[in-house]
Amino acid sequence: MMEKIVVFGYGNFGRSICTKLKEIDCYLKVKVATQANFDVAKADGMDVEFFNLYDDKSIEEAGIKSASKVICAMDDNHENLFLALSIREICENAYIMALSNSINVTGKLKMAGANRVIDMYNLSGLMIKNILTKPVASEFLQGFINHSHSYIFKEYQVSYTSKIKDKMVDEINFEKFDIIFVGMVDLEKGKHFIFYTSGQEHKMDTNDTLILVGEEENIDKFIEYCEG
Amino acid sequence: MQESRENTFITWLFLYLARSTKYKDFKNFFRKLFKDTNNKYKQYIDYFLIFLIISSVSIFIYEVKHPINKWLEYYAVYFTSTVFLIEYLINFWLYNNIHEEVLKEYNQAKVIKIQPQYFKVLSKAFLYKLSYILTPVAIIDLLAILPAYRPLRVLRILVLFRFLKLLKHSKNLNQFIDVINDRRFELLTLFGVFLFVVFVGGLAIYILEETQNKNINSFFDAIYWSFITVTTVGYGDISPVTTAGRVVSFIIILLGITMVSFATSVIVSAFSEKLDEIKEDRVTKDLNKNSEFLIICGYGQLTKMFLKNSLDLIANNRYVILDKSEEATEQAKQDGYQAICDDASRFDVLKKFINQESKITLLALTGSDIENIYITLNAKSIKRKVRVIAAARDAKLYKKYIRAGADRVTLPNEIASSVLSSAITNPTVHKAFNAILSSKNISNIEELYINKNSKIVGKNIYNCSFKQHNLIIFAIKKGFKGEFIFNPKQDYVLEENDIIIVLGHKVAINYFRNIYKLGSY
Repeated sequence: MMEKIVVFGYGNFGRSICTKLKEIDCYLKVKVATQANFDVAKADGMDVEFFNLYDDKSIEEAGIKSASKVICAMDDNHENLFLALSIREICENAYIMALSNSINVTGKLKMAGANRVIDMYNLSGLMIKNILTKPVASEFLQGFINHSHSYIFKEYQVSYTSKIKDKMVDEINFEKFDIIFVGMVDLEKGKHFIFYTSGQEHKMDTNDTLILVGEEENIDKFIEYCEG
Repeated sequence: MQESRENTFITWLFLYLARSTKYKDFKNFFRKLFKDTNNKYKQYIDYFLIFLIISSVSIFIYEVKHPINKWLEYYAVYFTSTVFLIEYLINFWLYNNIHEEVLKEYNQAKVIKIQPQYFKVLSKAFLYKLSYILTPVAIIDLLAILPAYRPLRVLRILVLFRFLKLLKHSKNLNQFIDVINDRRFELLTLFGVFLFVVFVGGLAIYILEETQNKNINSFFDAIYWSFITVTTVGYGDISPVTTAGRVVSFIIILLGITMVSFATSVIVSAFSEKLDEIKEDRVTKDLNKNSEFLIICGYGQLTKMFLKNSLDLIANNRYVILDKSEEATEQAKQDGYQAICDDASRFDVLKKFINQESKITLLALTGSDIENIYITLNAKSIKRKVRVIAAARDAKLYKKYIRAGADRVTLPNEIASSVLSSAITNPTVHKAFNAILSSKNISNIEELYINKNSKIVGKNIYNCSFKQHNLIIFAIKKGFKGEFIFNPKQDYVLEENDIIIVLGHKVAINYFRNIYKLGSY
């Protein structure tokens, strides 16, 4: 079933997010509070509707209960906080994601009920630090963000019938597919991500998630091999 | 047009000087050494001269009552005076460029096909140079050399001028004079009132007590008493003896206290007003002495986040934040950062921070793209080699930033939306990528530089035990401008100038770097 995502706001942040989300296979609904944002979203070909920030019914009508993810992307921090609070009040189970532009707002958004908060300036701050201290590595990393090179990070969840199930990591020949194994969520050890560089031994079990880097075509070939 | 032999010689000489890059470099070298306050070597010259002044004056003082060694005398008299004379001549030489004036005259004469009037030009240029001799600084410098002339012992009093020379070389004294200079009007007015009160007080006591006070024998005695009383010193050698004289004392004591308080408050307020400027001036000078430093333009959320993540980079104070908003600057100072309230898009402001010797990185992180682009252009116009990293709010302006000369451009909105999008589609990738981006201990991404001394040159990847050190090679870059070779094969032979991008534990990377003698940025 196609994932349903509701994005509130179509200002600077909202527009940028929606453009990215349009690239993935999902049902995207955009809700805006102003005519100017409505016009821009319409012109961008979005499925857009008005909503009233101060009316819970209007927020509920956006379909937040049936959406897999709800994104708070209003340009104004106060409005974003209020929105996150309202959504959590309306729907206890909603998965709320929000963008923050300050460390203080990040904490408040979490308190208001957001499940995941992306601090946009924290990421850029880290990126600038990386540019200063390791320019080549940062250029390499930036390539993943702006898709300037053909390599991607992709995850593969080990299925019950996967050929690599019950194998140890060192027994799998990733080099043959010209891909890099970065790390995995080894459910036997917990739900957290473990980097391969930690030197731990891993056995592949059903539902373990592997993170691979390489050309998409090569990663797909590997997945095909595993599932084939 | 036939030039005279003298004119031909002058033309040849000054044309040679004007065209000689060696001469220009030579003069420039001395100009930077003696005049450029941002030049780190100037401070060593200043320290050396201060040492000469203090040591020679100390010897002169000691010499008044005690015999001194011959070599000490040679040092205090001849050596120091010779150094001061050389300094004086260098300053005289640097004061103006005569050859430029002559060249101008030559070019003008050439255009209108007449004989160049060198005599007039040279006289004017020499007169201008001679005007240097009459500047207070030059007079002090010259008088400081004179104690070397031993036959006239009276010239020794001129040793005082060596102390005045300290003014030129001491930053603190210069700043004090600047502050006093700023309040020149108030202090001169006060001085006028002071002279008036001293005179009137002296006159009054002279008229009232000249016949009755045995200590007041002349008008000078009366003025002396008045001066000592107004300044609140009061030696007590002369005191009023009549009731009228004592009343005059009351009045001028009150006026004296008022004037001293007023003068103190004028100077203190001038200092407090000037304090920020003095501090900022010191920050600018200290920064320019570093071989490498950072200029951060704008103190918004992005700068705050950058600084929060880069405490190790700013620990040695090799940075400055420039923001034109007083409120933002104050906030930065309160947050414990080194900040100056100034507009980085102004040429003269940025010029103060961009010297030609240091390796400078400028971060254009203001909230406005137009301002960031302007700052980028401004910095590049001052020094092409300044490394500019800018944050573009609008991704569409990326190309404009690059055209303006930015070396790297980050797109905060783009990064955030990419990360958010990956958090939706690939949540585990999102976690992994975030960890790599923030370079946590275990997920540290690093670049290893292979130089000619690296023990890795000529070996293939398989033989370099990356795997045994739990390191993942993401890619190799063939030099700074080369292409990335993603996931190189095990038989890839490593070469000089290769840059290896690895992921691993910080400790493992450092250990690997040390054993194979690999460089870092």
